[in-house]
Amino acid sequence: MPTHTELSLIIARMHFDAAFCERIYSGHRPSEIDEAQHQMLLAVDPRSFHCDPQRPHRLVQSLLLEAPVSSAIAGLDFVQHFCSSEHFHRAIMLRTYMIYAYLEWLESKAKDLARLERAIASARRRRSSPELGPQELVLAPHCLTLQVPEGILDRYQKAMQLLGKDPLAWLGQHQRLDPRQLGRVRKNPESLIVAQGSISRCSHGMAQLLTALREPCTLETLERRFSEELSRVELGEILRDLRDDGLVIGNTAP
Amino acid sequence: MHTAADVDFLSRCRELPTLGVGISTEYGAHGAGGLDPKLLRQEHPEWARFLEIGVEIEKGLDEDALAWVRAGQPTTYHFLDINLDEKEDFDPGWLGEVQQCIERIKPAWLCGDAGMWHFGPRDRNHMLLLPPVLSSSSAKALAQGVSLLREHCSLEVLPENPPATAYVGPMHIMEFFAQVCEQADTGMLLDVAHLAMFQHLRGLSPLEGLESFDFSRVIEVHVAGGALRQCPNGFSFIEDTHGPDVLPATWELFEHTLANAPNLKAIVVEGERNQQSQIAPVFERAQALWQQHPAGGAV
Repeated sequence: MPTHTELSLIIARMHFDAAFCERIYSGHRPSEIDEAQHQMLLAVDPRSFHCDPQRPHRLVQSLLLEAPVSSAIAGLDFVQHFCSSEHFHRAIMLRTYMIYAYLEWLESKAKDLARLERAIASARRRRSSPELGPQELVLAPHCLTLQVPEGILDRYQKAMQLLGKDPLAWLGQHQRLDPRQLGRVRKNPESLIVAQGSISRCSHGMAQLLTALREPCTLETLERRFSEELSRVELGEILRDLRDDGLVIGNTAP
Repeated sequence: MHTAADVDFLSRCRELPTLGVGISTEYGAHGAGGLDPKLLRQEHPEWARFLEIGVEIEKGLDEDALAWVRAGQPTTYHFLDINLDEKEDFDPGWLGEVQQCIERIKPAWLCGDAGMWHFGPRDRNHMLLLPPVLSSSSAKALAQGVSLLREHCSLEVLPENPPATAYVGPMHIMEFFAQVCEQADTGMLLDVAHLAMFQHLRGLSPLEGLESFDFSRVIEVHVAGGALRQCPNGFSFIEDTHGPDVLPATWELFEHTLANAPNLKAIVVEGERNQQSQIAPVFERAQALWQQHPAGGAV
């Protein structure tokens, strides 16, 4: 049975999407609410949901500032419609991060650059560290790895340079960033480490090690897993460096 | 503090300090050209007996709030980032930081709009403020959240009626908060400017529908400027401007509340975005009315 929470989320969506609101007043009942709740909505003057027409634009502006490159490639006209997208509505109902939904929505336009900006957004958000047992190590909560075609990081950096310190002003002036301005992407894959405030390239082997560290594991487990690629000493040195850089945390001294 | 389990709120509230007239602030309000709390207290201590600090944990406290706290002056903690009716919102990380903030600012109590401050997880892109659904099930969930926060913080938690242009649900907002107060065994922060907005939207005169509300639950009152607006589609509403022009309906509700709220401890003039000279008449009137309240002479 739907609770007030589902209804509250529907109300939130109505404040952001006039077309959705109109559908509700035309008789469409979202599946998340029951008939009595639908009647509660219909008892309210529909105009009362649109007293702040800037609300969706403020949300998009905030998302745009966090994902400037993907937004610029998609173009100002396109991103203005985000609050009418399935991605927006689904994110509200599933109570997930809107920036992730926004960047998934932009993936059709900005492709791997959207994936990169999503990784940056993810690294920026605090996550709690998992409970670690004795002798266990894990990837730091603000750190993740990403595999992209070679050249994506260069394109991202070039786009950021073009957009400058005020991407909104740039977009207001240019409307859209032509991705052809950003250089070529090659087919070879490239691994990146995305941490809070930094992006760096890494070898495929390092990416594999960091990927294994997404889940807490002991030094012994890692030794077994990477026994063909690394000696015990080499692995210990790498893990020490990663800990010194704050990319790996743990209860053991490698 | 006595816990809700051993003493009922109307007894517990006698232990709460009487704060008198105070001011509100949010992160960066003074820096953005608004009211200077320190200066106001120097020039008119009777208007700034306490500072209600609007706290969004992610942003922290600004220098004006910290200076006030360092001076050992009274505060209240106004939350800006908790959906009280959502269990998921009471995550240990946030609760821990709230506790740290409480230890720092030593508020007399916690209070704040009982609405949806954000959709989804707490995040800079998710902030908004929508009122609760005005139904009994929603009141029950809100009451549970109030109790939970009070137990965690060992301080009274006073829910506030939020502003809105759209209130969904069959109940009158004061009927809703009466249920919340009773079920959580708590008091409330009555924002009379927000209440004027509700009354206008429902086509009610200022005092209509308040007849059965128990004002002894009102511990704090907010008064603020508002403006009557009309959308291009003809819809009429009151905007919560926090400016110097307080609507007559708001003053009427303010006076009615003061005349009927024997346990009132605090009044906040919400004028943080104004120059002192602009907002002074609101303070003068609020202070004069507070002086007529039985608790007013005690401060």
